Amino acid sequence: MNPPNRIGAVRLARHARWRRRCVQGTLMLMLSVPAVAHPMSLNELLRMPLEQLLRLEITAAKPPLPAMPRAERAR
Amino acid sequence: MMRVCWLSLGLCAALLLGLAPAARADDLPEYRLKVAFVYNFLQLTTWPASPAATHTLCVAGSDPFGKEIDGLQGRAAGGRSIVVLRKAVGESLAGCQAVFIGATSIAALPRVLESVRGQPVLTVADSPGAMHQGVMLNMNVADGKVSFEANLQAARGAGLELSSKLLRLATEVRQ
Repeated sequence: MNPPNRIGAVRLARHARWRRRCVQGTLMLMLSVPAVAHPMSLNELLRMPLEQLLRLEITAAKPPLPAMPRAERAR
Repeated sequence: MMRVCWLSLGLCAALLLGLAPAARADDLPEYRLKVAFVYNFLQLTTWPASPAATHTLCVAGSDPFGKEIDGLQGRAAGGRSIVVLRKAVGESLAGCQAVFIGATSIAALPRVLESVRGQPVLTVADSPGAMHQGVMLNMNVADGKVSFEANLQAARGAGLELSSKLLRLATEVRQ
């Protein structure tokens, strides 16, 4: 291999190494940011047709103990 | 090359941080979804002609909806404004156009049904088997999804008309 070709090969290898690091860095960054769940509002739901509501999946936990009406609580 | 890499990393970070809150739109509590179902039930049911300007939705017994159901206050359904009232089991249901009885108060279902018998009151529940006990629209949860069954016989007996859309989308219709 003559000197100019060797320089070209070194440069190519360096570029390949940087490209790999760049892709790895971008991927790591993407994975490190957790997907934030934004709650679907009641307004959004009330605008949906029944067909669409039937397809939705409940994702949040059940609410805590239900509230009792005052008259029942007093019993 | 290095500059391009830092630029792409920076762009990526800015995009991710900026768009992260909108990345997933799937946090959906059960009773928020059920409120939307109840709203549709009110819209897709026809009551006998009445001069009342409001639809009174009564939650009998324990209220599993919490503040979610209050989101229906003042909304229009069938040309009427919705009013939500919470009633204790045994309390009079006079003036209610629709009654919801939650799973934790389901033991009181026969008493609730008896108190509205023959009146144009839409009964809604979310307990397995409630439709067969006489509830007109009963919601079920299977695989995280809400479905409902309809008791057409009970609705007709009370003078209510369930829309064809409700009957088409119900998992079971009792004739």
